[in-house]
Amino acid sequence: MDSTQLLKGVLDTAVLAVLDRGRTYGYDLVRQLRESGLVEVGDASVYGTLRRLFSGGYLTSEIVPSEEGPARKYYGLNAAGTDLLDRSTKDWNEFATVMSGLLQQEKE
Amino acid sequence: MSLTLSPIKTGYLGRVKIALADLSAEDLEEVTQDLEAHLAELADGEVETVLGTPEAFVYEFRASAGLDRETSSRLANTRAWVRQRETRLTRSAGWIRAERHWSRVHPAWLWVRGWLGVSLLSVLSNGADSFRAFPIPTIGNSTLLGLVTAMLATWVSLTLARQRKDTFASFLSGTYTAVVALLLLVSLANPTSHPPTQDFEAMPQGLISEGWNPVQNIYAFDTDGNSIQVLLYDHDGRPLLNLPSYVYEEAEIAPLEERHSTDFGQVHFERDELGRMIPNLYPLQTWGYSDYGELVPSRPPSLGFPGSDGSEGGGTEEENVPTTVATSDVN
Repeated sequence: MDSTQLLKGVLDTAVLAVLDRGRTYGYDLVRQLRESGLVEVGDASVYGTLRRLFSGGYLTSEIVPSEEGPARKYYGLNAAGTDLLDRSTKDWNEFATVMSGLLQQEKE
Repeated sequence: MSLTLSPIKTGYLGRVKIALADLSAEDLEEVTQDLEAHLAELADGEVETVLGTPEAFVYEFRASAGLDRETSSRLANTRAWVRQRETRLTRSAGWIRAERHWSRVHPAWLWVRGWLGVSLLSVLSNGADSFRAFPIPTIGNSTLLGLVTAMLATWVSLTLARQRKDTFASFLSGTYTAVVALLLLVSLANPTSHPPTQDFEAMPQGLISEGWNPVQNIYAFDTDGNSIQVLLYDHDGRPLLNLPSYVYEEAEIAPLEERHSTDFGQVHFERDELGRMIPNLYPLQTWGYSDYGELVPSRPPSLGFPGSDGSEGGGTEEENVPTTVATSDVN
């Protein structure tokens, strides 16, 4: 199965999970997602997700000037974001358990 | 990482901004802040490799961000791309130069386009007969109607141009030009477009019978199947044998030749006391080839009509006689 299709459904959770580690900016967020194994994640998809989560009131943002180049916008989780991550994690775990059970039955 | 973006990255950012032009300034600023920092991390050569084209980037961004009415709209991205190209084109030196030249000839064009439109219509419908009194086009076989139509078309052209501030008139004026341009293209694409009668002169063999065979002669018979004496001439006074024109031309320039060859046999023209060919003097002496390849005097066919000999159809009694350049039976 094309993993990009799976990724669409969980990218929000993945982004929230990375930001839960600590605030960061877009380029670094993409890098961390890829290092985590989501190698096919699209840069534009991450920025779109950040924009949607930020507009939904789940993120904080802060412009941090950089001596090396353009200012970077750092994103972080606010309380609503943390709460959303908790709910998404719970949903994902339930979903993953169901799927694992189904796939296990299939093997047996 | 450099403090300022390279031209390639600036160009990329610019195209993204154009493709996102429908967003509010605030939203656009949010997006470009992220992207600007991202671009700064990349080398020039890997910008499109990593991010895709600006339009693809925006497409993916919109889909992921769940953006309003134009989410996932390829059309919007295409529109943005076209807008950008249009801007680039209209700001180019060549375009500006062309506009300057066009502004000089534009008044003349407004005068000419009405006449040109009517003239092209005339050319397309009448072919070579479209200008009986140049420059007045012929409309419906009438030069007067062509004059009136051309004047009316010129008046409409100038009137539309004067009302340039009126959006609808401006639209009509543009349409007018487009129609004339279209007619011009059609005319250029069909330079020989004219009624089939105009082709008659160009046909080297004259009349064409069924099966595209050239008509070699015309014989007259009465209703009983008897040949009758009729002298037929073409508009140049030549006997209507419809020989290829080169036969007459060769005969005129080579009077010493007794006989002049055709594709189908030979012909001899009578001459006056000064040796000049008399092309319209009957009977012409013509010879055709027999089945044995011998030159024999040509004779007209004898047709059988229903009732004339009791048989059906057109039987012949001299079927072996070549009829291609046979003389008319006027002896």
